[in-house]
Formats: sequence, structure tokens, C-alpha cells
Amino acid sequence: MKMVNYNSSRGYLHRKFLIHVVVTISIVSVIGLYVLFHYAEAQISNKSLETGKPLQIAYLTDGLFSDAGWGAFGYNAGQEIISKYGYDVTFLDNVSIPNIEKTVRNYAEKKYDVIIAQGYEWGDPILKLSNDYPNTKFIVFTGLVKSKNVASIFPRQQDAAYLLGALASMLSKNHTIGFIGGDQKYPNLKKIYEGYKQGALYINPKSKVLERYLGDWDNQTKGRSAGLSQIKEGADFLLHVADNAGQGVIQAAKEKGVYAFGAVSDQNKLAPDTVVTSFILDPAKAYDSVFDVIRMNNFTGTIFTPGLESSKNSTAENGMIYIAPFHSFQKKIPADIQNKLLQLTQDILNKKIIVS
Amino acid sequence: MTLFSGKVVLLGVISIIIIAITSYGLFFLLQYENEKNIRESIFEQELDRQLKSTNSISQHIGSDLRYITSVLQDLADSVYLQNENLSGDKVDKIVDEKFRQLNSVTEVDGLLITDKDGIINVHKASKGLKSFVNIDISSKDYMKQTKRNLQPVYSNGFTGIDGKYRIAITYPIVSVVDGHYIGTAIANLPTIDFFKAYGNVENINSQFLVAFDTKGNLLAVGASKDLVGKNFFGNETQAFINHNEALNNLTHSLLGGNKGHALYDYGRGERLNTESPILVGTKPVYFLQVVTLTDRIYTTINSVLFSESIKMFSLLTGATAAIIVLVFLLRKWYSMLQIEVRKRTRDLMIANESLKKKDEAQNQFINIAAHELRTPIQPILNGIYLLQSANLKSQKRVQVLDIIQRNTKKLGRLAEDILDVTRIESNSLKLKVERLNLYDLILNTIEEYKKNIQFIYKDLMINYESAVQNIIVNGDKLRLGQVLFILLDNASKFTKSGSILVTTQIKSNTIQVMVKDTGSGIDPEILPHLFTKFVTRSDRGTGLGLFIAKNIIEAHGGIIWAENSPQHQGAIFFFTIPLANDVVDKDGNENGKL
Repeated sequence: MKMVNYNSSRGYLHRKFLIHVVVTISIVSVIGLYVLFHYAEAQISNKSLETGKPLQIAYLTDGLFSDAGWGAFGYNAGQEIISKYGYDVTFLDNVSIPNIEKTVRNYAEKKYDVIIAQGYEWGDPILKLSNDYPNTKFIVFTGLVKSKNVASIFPRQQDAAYLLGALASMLSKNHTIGFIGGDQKYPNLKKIYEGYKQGALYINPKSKVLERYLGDWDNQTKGRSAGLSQIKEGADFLLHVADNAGQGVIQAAKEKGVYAFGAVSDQNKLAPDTVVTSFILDPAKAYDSVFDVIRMNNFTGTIFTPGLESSKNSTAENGMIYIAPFHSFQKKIPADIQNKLLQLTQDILNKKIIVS
Repeated sequence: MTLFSGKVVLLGVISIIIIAITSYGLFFLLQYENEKNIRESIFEQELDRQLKSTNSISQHIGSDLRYITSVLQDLADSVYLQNENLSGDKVDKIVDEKFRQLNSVTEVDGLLITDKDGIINVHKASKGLKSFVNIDISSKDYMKQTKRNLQPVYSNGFTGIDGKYRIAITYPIVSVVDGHYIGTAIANLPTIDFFKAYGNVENINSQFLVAFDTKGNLLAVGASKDLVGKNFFGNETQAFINHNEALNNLTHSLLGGNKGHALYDYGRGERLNTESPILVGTKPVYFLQVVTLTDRIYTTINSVLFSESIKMFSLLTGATAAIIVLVFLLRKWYSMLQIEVRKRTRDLMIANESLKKKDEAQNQFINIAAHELRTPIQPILNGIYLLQSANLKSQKRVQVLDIIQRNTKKLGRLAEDILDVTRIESNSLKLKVERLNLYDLILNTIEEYKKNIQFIYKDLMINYESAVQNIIVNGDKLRLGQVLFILLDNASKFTKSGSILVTTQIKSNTIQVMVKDTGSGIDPEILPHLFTKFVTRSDRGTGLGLFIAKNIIEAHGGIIWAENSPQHQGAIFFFTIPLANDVVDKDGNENGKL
């Protein structure tokens, strides 16, 4: 009996101690696991950001990196991503429109983290296939599509075109200016024309704005003949938004001693005495908005619509479009005109003027 | 004898095999040593040549790089760029001109001018290549370096937008007025095409070049085009060279700015690698290796060495074959010789035996002759002694003289016989051949013999019977008479009292003479040796008569033999002599008539 009593009191103490130990271990484990999971989650979501392997990015376009404008912008923007964020970027240009879906799928299959597609045409195919690759983020530049893993950047190029239209109108002797676009079916193209026209008419409501589309982005001969044709109609300032074909437009202006505006990149170097200025998509800031949300791990299907900035890589504004320097025309363009242009820029930035 | 020659042959064969193995071994050893020496010396020459050529190639490349830099400097110093006009027709024109100038010397596929922000303003590209105006290359290391140091830069390898692997040579455009940075002039060099001008960079099977940048990236490599753009120490290249330590060490040393050479084999054949940094001024900007498959070095000499060893080998084989043939011939000769020696030995033995017999017979002859000579001498001496010492009665005196006479005659006959035997044995018995009638000869001889023995054998009858009386033969009258005399004397010795019958009978073209007695006959033991010397049972014969008779008859081309009479007691002797040719038929006819 004694033995039993002794044993039972010993057993009771033993059990109580055991319960304490078990409870303590459980609590510590739960807290530990919670912390661990959060840490792991953070690790996974922060993958490739500050630590670990850099993001693998594919930069795809149907344009040509060699076009000195639109394509060159893309390449430069990709290089900016490399140098600014340290990500790995693989480039591919000259993708034909029918091959877009196949190309994107190919890169998605290779487990690229982010696929940037430059060109409006890429929107629909990407939207269609994006569900098949939920772990890949797709960005369409000049796109108007969005989904859980698809974002678009649709810069308000019409704001810059407005400034160029106004400048042309102020400088034009014939009060006739021309616009030559690539393929009409691109909605941004029409918007750019509209902005250009609004700017011109804002300065001089009697200005005549010629409008022409090539149905082509690459053929410089087509660009040249369209340019010559508009010059014949009296245009003494030509704005092209026709990528490679646009170089033909500049060529035509150079041949006939009229002036031209460059598109997307500073194209003064193509014809320093012809290209007065250009509207520039700033590669340094083109993808900032979207990579900000990717870095914040806050990617959602958004259509970003960045507008003007006062100068290249300006930190004052979020915009990504600016007007190029005048180079040799700096001395030729009267100061009041230059001031007027600066004023208009400020008005747009301040939303005093809304380009529709 | 056989065993001994077998051993000798075995020994000979083993010696020949050992000599052959030794000479072949020696031949191959010498050949190997010789080839090794030749190879070593050729290798040394090739190494020396390749070291020199490597140096000269790298100097050549260095000088071309300096040339490119000087053209870029010209461009940077041009008035337009100095005025910060970095684009336009005039700039295009001067860039075109410089591009052509560069390409007349080396392979440059792009000449570019960037502004101070690193954006390409002008890009003159080779035909078929795209130009990339407005592309921002400010992030490239070589651009940063150029801008920072305002010094020319020889870039590491990089892949261009079009996927081609290149190096860039830059020259900063710096204002000559105030030294501020305006932009950069750049020459782009496609690495494979550039280095191709200095050697093979495409075929692993001949001597090829390998060029590195300062980071060890492969700019051009004859071993495999796929390795261009890969780092030498990266996984892919290391897998290709099987992590070859010698090559890794060599390349480390090269990238450290050192010259050197090494031999190695990473599984694709032994190679000789000579290396040298490519200097611009004193600074190594790129690095060069010249690689040769050592097999190639030896290819030319291999055929020479091969034909030489074939020559030597066939010489040796020829010599061996000749030796083998010689050995076989010697062996054949030896066996022939052996047969000959055996034959000669046998002949000699036979000759020796016969000499021995002759010797024995000679000794016997001398013994017998001495004895035979002594026998009549004693009665002669006794007779002479009697005649000298006493007064003999005349009758007795006649008797003694008769004894002396008889014995002296016998001695004389004996001497004659011995002389004849000597003649016969020395082959100097000469016949005085003449035509004679044998019948007459026999008749006369018998008559004469009868006179001789009339007092000794008083009861002996001698008869001659012949169907023919004209028996013409060619012969020696004296000798044939001697034969007859011998036969009669022989018969009378064994007959004493009785009769002797002589007959002659023509048989074919010979005459056969028979002497038949009624005596005791021939002892059968003696019969086979009857006609040899000193064979006699007679107490008074010399034992030479029948031997002489036989030789005389044979010298006449006839034969002589003897037999015992089957019916009667007594012996019969026969001999034949050829008849003279011209009388045979005649005599035969006569015989036939009778």
C-alpha cells in the first residue's frame, strides 16, 4: 500500500511536469513554425529582389533594335533594367506578328519570371495565354490589356505630340504640317495624331494637318514617298511615328529642305539639319512603375499610363515622355517660341491642358 | 654419330634463332632510338619555329591593334567631332572613309561614334549588318572605362545585339581646347573574322589559334567554334579540354602576361601549344596560343621514317632469308658429304680388309715360299757335302748328282713360279700372242712332259684325244704350254699310276680342253679355293701352279675350272680359249664333215 501511495504521488508530479513541457514545446513550435513560414514566404516572394537569383526577364518585340527609334528605345529600356535592378534580360527583336504567341509561350515555358512585350499587337495573345503561366508576369508596352499576371504600360504619347504640333505650327511657314503613321490599326497612333493636331490647332486654328498611314512599320521607301507626297502638298514639318519606315520620312524632308520630328528616340542624329527635335520615350523610366510594384510584391493587372516629364530621367514627375534637345536648332528657334513650348509643357504637366 | 649430328643441328638451329632474335631486337631497338632522336630533333625545331611564329603573330596583331587605335584617334581629332557635331552627312563621310581605311588592313565590322551619354550617334556597319543608332551602350564596361580614364580601351569579348561575338577598341573624343569629354569612337571587331586573318581558327585538325581576352574569354578558338564567347575556366570549356591540368596551368600563366609552351593531350591527340600575350605598347591586351597537333609535326617525317625502316627491314629479312637458304644448302651439302664419306669409308674398309688379306696372303706366301725354297736346298747341300767329303762310288755319285740336279731344277721352277706370281699380281704379265695350233701345242707338251716323268711315274699313261687337229687360237705358245704342263703335273702328282686323258672339243667359238685323271680326286674342302695361291695337298708342289694357270687362261679371255669325276675316281680340269675368229667357221665346217 505504501508503495502504491508513494508511487501515485510521484506519478502525479511526473504528469504535471510532462504537461508543462508539452505545452511549452507546442507554443514554441507554433511560434517557430509561424515565423519560419513567414520568413520562407518572404524569402519566396522576395526571391530575386535583394537576395538570391536575379529575376530572369525576356524582352521581346516585333520592332527592330536597329531602327534608331522605337526598337532602339526597347533595347535601351532593357539595358536600363539590367543596370538599374541587376536583373538578367534576354533580348529578341524582329518577331513576326503571327509568331507572337508561339514566341511568348516558348519563353514562358523556359520559366522566365517576367516577359516584357513591346508592341500593341502582343496584348491579345498574351492575355490569352497568361492563364497557362500563372507564375510568369507579363508586361505589354503600349498595350491595353490586363489580368491577374498581365500589366500594360500605355504612355500618353499624345501629350508629347501635342507639344510637337504646337511647335510645328509656330514654325511652319506654309501653315501646313504632316503626320505619317505606321499601321493605322494601332490605337495609340490615332491618339498621337490627335494630340499633334490639337497642339497645332491650339497655336493656329487655321493650320492644316495632313494625315497619312503607311500600313507598314519597316519599309523606308514607303515612308519616303509618303513624306515627299505631303511635302508636295505644302507640308514643311513632318512628324512620323512609323519606326523604321519613318527614317524614309526624315530622308524625304532632308532631301526637300523641310523639317521633321523624330519619334520615340532622339532622331536628330539621323539628319542633324532636318530633325528639329523628337518626342522621346525615356528608357530610364519606362518600366519604373511596373517594377516598383513587382519589387513591392504587389503586382496586379494594371494599365499604367505615364505621361510627360519635364526632362530626361526627371525625378520631379512620374512621366516618361519628354521633348529632345534642339541640338543645332537651339540657336535657330526664337526664344519666345522655346518659352511658349516650355509653358505648354508645364500646362500639360499641371493638367491645365488635357490632351484628349 | 647420328645422335651427335642431331645435337649439332639442334644447337645450330637454336644459335640461328638466337642470332636472328638478337639482330631483329637490335634492329628494332636501333630503329626506335633513331626515330626517337629524329622526332626529338624535329620537335625541337618545330617548337623553336612555332615559338618564333607565335611571337611574330602576336606582334603583328599588336601592331594592327595600334593601327586601329591611331585611326580612331584621327577620327576623334577630326574637326567635326571636336565641334561636337557627332552626326550628319559630313561625319558620316569621314566615318565611311575611316571604316574603309581600317578594313584595308584588318577586319572591322563596325565603326561607331557615341555621344557623352554613350548613345550611338553614328554606326557604320559592314554590308549586311544592321546599324544601331540611338542604342545606349553607356553601361558597357569598356565605355565606362573610356569615359573615366579618357584612354583607349581594348575591350573584353561581348555578344552584340545581333548575336555576334566581338571586341571593341575605343578612343575617347576629348576636346583639344579644354579636355572635356565629348564622346567615344569605337571600332567593333568580330573576333573570329579578326583573328582568322592571322591563322586558322576554324579547323581543329591543323595548326590553329586560340585568342583570349583579359578575363579568359575565348575570342577565337580553332578547336571548336562553339567555345567562342565562353570562358576558358568555365564548365563548358573545361569539359571540352577534360580539365587538362597542363593546359590550365599554361593558360593561367599566359593570362598572367607570360610567354610559354607546353605539350598535353586532353583526349584528342597530343598537342604543342606556344603562347604569347598580345601587347599594345607594353600592356598585354589580348592573349594568343598557337596549337599544333604533334602528329602533324611528324607526318612528313613519318613517311620517310617508314620507308627507311621498310628498307632496313627488307634488308634484314633478305639477309635472314639468305642465311636460311645457305643453312639449308650447307645442310644438304653436309648430308651429301656424309653419304660420300660413308661410301668412301666403306670402300676404304673394304680396301683395308683386302689389303689385310693381301698382307696376310703375302706373309703366308713368304712363309710358304721360304719353306718351299728351303726344302730343295737341303738335299742340294747334302749332295754337295757328300761329293766333297767322301770318295763315292761312281754309281752313287751319279745318284747324288741326280738328286742335286732335280732339286736345283725344282728350285729353278719355284723361282720361275714366284716370278710369275709377282708378275701376275703386279699386272705385268705380258703375253706374246701369236696364231698357233693348239692341237700341236698339246701334243708336243704331252710328249715333252712324258720325257720329264719317265723315270718318276713309270706306270703313268698319258693320252690325247681330239676330233680335230687344227685348233687355231691367238695365244702365247709358252704360256699355254705352261698351263698344260701345270695341269699334267698336277694330275700326275695325284695319280702316280693310272692314266691321264687330255681331250679337246670345240664348243661354239671356243675350244674346251679337258685334263682328266684317275687319281685321288680333289679334296672337297680345297675345291672352292683351288685356283688361289699356295693351295695344295701335294707334298711336292709349290701351290702356285693352278693360280698361274688360271691367270694365264683368263689373260687369254678364257675360263678354267675343276670338278671331281662323278663315275670314276679322279679329278677333271677344264679350260676354254676363244678360237681365232677367221678359222672358226672353217674349222666348224670341217668338224661338221667329220
